[in-house]
Amino acid sequence: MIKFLKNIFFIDIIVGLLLTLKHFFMFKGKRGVTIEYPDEKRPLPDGYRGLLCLRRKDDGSERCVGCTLCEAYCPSKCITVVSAGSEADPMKRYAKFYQIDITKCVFCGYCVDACPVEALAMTKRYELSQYEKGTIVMTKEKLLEIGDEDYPCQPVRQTGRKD
Amino acid sequence: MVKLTINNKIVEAPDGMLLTEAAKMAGIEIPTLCYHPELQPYGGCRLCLVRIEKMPKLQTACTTRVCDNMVVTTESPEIEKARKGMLEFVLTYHPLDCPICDKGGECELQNLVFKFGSGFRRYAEDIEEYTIDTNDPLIDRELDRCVRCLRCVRVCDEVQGVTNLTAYNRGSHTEIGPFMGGSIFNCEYCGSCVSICPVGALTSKLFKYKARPWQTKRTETICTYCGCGCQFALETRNGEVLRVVTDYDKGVNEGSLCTRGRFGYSFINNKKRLTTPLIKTNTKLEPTSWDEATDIIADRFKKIIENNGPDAIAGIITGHCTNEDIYLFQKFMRLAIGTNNIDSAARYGYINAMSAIKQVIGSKRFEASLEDVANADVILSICSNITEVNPIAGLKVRRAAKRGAELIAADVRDTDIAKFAAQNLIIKSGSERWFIHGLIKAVLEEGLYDNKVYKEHKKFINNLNSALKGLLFEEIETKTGISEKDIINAAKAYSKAKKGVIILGQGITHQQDGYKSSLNLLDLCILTGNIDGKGTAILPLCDENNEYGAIEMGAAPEFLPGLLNAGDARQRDIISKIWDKKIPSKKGLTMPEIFNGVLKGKIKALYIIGENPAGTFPQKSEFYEALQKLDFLVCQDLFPTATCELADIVLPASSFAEKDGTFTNMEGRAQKIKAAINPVGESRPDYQIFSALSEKMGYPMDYDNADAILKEIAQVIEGCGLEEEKDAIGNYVKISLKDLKEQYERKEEKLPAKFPFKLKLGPVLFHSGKLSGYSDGPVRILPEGRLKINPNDADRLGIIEGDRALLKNANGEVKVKVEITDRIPEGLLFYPEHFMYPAVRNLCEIDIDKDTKANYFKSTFVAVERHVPEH
Repeated sequence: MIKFLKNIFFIDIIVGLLLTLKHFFMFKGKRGVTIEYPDEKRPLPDGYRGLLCLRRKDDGSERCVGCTLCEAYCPSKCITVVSAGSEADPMKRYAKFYQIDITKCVFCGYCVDACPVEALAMTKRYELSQYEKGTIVMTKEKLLEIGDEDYPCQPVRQTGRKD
Repeated sequence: MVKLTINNKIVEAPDGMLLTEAAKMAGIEIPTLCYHPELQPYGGCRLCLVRIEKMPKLQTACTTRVCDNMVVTTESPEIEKARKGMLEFVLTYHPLDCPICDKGGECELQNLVFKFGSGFRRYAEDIEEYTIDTNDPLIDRELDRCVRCLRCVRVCDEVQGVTNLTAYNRGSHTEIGPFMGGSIFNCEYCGSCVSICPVGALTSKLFKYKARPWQTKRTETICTYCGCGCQFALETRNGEVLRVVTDYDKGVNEGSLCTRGRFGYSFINNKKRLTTPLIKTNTKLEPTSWDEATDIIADRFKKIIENNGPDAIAGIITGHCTNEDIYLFQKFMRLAIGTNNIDSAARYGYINAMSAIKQVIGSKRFEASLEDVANADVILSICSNITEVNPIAGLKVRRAAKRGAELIAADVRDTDIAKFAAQNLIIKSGSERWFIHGLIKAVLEEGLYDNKVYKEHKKFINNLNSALKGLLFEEIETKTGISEKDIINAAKAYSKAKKGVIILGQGITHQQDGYKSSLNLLDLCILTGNIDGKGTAILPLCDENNEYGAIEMGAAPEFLPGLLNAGDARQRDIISKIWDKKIPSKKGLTMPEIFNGVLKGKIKALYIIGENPAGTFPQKSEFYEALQKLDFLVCQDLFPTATCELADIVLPASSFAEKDGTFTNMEGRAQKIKAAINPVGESRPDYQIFSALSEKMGYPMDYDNADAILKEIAQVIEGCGLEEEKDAIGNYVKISLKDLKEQYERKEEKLPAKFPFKLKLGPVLFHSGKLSGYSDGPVRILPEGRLKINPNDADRLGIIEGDRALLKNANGEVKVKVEITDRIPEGLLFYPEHFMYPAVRNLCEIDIDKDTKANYFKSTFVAVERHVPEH
């Protein structure tokens, strides 16, 4: 009998819609769910894999030695490295040309894993949409700039040889 | 064959084989570091430890030879532990700087640790300081990375025979360095040590930090420098050649290379390369399009043919082009233009040897191979300077001599192979023919000739006897400075050889009477029976890599493709039939005749490919003058040379790294080259240029690729293969006494009183032609030429090392830097031919051979004095 009444007065539907109504009148604030992007941004967890960057040593020099392991490891082949000996000190290896094609990048973070000198790192930046593809092909200068902003200098892990 | 058990697997291996090799044959891998298939067993790294039954301890597999019923275990917990321990020992001092190290990615230690080791180092003390030396122009030494396998030291000694590298401070602080100390290697710079180093201790400066091995594209090809035809691989990335690598088991060179082969590749990407066709407007060369350039060339050629006939056009091609290029060029000249006026760089002397060989043996390929040289038991090297002209052929000679072959080195100066020679004979310059005739006389007088030859060719021997009657050993001794005894000894050694090889150097072929001398030496071969083709023969040295091919492809007025005689109507018809067009019958002009023709106004237009006559001929010579008199000069080259400046149109050609084709090396072995990169700029492979031109000339020669041309060449050569003379030697020995006497004429060289020094220009080890001058590596080692002079002469003239000397003769004067060395005899001067400045070549005169019209311009007489700088 009750089941019959519930059926003809749409009770279940009204109960369901009441929850909707409740949320409809619930405003922004402590109990709110909606995040008003882009005015408001979601807090990101540690280890979030956003845009890549290049870091510097404490003395301001580049950490990257141009070993090209990131290029070798990259599953989407978006990294290009051309290494060279530095002009001032021919024994010093560095990346003469470094480029990440973010349009191809899948943000897997393998390159960061592969980097033996902790030169590559991932930031929490994710707003990468552009009108022109070319602007998100990240050159070495752009990557270093982002690194400077997001990763102020930290001590570097030792490699085998004493410099 | 012996039977042994490795890891419960029964393996059959030849007796005396090393255990590592036997295991490799059976597909079982034993890790090694100091072992290398090319080197003697050493047993230094102890990574190849295996358990052999009934032996008390673990044994090194790389020094143990297999024997019957041996039972070997290569995998067990015990061995694994030992390997891990040994790897940890190797890593004690090894810095873990793989990200920076240039060897990363192809490092044998890296691979071993990855596979077998723990990658963990218990040793925590301070690492000792080792030498890091980067002062050498080509090779960096970073000895902290060295694992003391001594492969480099061993390859330097065992393979190269240079023994320049050594291990010093032996013990816990062993280091590798030049034997004489210091940081400059100062050796032959063959780069074998760099290529064989398993880690990054010895690295090439030219490749340093440029790329990782997985980033590069590898293309197997053939070296373009000399006639050895060494096989190597070019590693390229983004259209740039980054380095040259070799495999020890490939090619005639078996992994060895010389400086120019290993370090002389950067001319390919040199910024000075021609990238667009150039056209002369108002005495200045300006870029133009291919279409326009070829149109103008075709128009001008057509006009000249109309007005002066096709024989007013001539062509000269370099020996650095591929067979396909040369074949197509001569076809273009013969059919599209209709003239036989075509010649190649072989005319500088190589043609002497080739004509002589063809004369005696017929048209079939009949030269000693490099393998024959390595297997010979007596090698007679005449004026060869082989190490500097053909370094890898020199290596074979060294190897043979080390194996126990008797090496007789005769030259006008002390050469590199002299220290390996059983008999080192230094003959006076200009007396080479007396020496050769002395050898033949000794054979005749001592009865050293082959019995079979004596029976068959008795008349020939009698004729030879009478041709040499007037020559006495006293005269030979005063002329050559070599005693009768020495000459007889040399003749005895050569005639008793089972596998005797004569190496015919440029000292004979590239000077007056080179053709006759070559014939004389072939007579010596016939007399002693050393000409059966089974490892005994004559090997003429070849300066440019495809001079053999240039002659064989018919880039000479007297030869058609396949070494057919162009003067013979019947032989001409054979080729005409294949080509479907008649070959012009008028006799063509050789290189000196072409230039003389220009002076006489007979030749109006010249098409030069890859040659640089304006840069090689003496400036005061008539030939140089002829170049300026030309109505129309087309130059096709890699670089803007001195000849290009005189040209009306310059076409950019592609280098060997940018085209397909074949090179024929000096032993007659045709080898394929492959394009490693796309043509630089707008340059095109030579054969494509000829195709384009021929179409505009109204005789289209259209080929899809180089392979299509090769197919046609094969057809042509097959067609003429039937023309080989059956018993060529039998016909040759019927030569009349009069002709034989002519062959044995000796011309005395008169030393002018005013100019008492003989100056010779020639090749040196680090350079080859003018091409290596555009490469970084050779230039770093030898940036400029130095005049070599004997210490006694220098003393007399008051010249000390580092001074400048003033060379003077009727043609002018030149200031050059001096290097004092006792390897050169008194009265002789030597200067490398590779440098444009100072222009020592301008002192020389052009000398033309009467028989083959070869032109020589590499020697002259000069007066020397010390140059006092003005302050």
